[in-house]
Amino acid sequence: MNPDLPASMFEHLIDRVKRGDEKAFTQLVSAWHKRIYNFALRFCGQEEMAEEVVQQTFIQVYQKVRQLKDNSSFKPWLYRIASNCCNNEGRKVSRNKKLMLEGVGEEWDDPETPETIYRQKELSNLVMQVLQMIPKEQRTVIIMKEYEGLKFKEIAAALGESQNTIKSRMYYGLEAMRKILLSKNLSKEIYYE
Amino acid sequence: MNDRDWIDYLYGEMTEEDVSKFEERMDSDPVAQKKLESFRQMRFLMHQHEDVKPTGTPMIVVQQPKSWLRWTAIAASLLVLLVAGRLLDFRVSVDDGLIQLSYGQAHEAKPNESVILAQLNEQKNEWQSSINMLRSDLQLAMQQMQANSTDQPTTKFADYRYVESALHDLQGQNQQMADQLVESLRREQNENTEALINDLLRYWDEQRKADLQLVNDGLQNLAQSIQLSSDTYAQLIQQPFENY
Repeated sequence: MNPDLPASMFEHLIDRVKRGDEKAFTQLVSAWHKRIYNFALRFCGQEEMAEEVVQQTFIQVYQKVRQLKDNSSFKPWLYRIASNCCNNEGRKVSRNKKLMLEGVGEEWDDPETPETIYRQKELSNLVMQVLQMIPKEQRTVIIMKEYEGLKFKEIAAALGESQNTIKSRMYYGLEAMRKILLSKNLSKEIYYE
Repeated sequence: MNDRDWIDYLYGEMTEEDVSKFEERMDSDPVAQKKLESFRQMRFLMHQHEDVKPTGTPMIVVQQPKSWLRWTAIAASLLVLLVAGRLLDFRVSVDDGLIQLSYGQAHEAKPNESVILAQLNEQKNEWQSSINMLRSDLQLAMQQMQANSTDQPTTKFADYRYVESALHDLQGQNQQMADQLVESLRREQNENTEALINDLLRYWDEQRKADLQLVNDGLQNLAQSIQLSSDTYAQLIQQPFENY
């Protein structure tokens, strides 16, 4: 459930947070901060927005943790909050934001040289940009599965959908990304949403 | 091969039997093979984007309920009470330390005499019983003393009278001391009053002298001014005639 703590200890930590233990809440934030930050960063594509999502997510965790009946389902519950916060933040940004994608479609299996390291960073940025271009429902599922390591069952619980729906979104999301990456017109200005 | 089959295969959620079937179909479908390869490449590419270390620990600021909300709620409650009180002719009256709530005209608040009398009687009974107990204790003690010294009854009686006379003397002395104290206080107060009156008289006398001096100075100044004015007028009057 938690990268640093065994499940039983983590559930005890949740109990303490429910009782208003601020120290326990600080531990909880420390444990999940990096994961939620990266989830938000991949979803939103901007550090400022990711930081805002982290803030909003943990504020909601603090305010609503007593509503969580089963401590073992904390992880999907946390990602549901984070996902909602991402969607809320996403609505704030301009709908006509332009993304410039360049240099996609070239070879990327180069040996380790300064040039390939630079290339690696470029590819990393490229992935971020492509993620922003697919529908947010598909993006959420892909990030939860590929980067956060949630099971399909957990994603379904987090988003309140069936596993079949989640798998369909995953497939179409991957397919959309694949098509974008293989597209020949990536250097053009692309609008999303 | 539907979308869920692809996902189950890519993420290892397929049974061995289904995997075999899927791969058999894949072998005979070059388009599907190419698609699978591109999916794998894309997943590889996705994992080129590594986790970013967040800068610093987030400051989670959870807002407490605002105090003005609480005060607003209290004010609103009071307003509702006032309006409801007005509609129902609700009255609050305070009379001689008694608070009375009523609908319509308030009745005159009067202390309950029977309750007070009952409390006084109760207190009186308590004191009476205490006195009786003391009296019985004293009688018992006297009896014991008499029983213990039956051979010297006159001495004990004499001792009792001696104590009584000593108490009487002591009361007399106390009364005398109190009288002396009162007398000395009265004398001291009279002396203080007399001194105060004398001081006041002296002050008034000094004040009167100062006022007289002021009046005198003022009159002298006035006289000088009048003299100066009359001289000036005389010169002014004579001057035109001198020119002719």
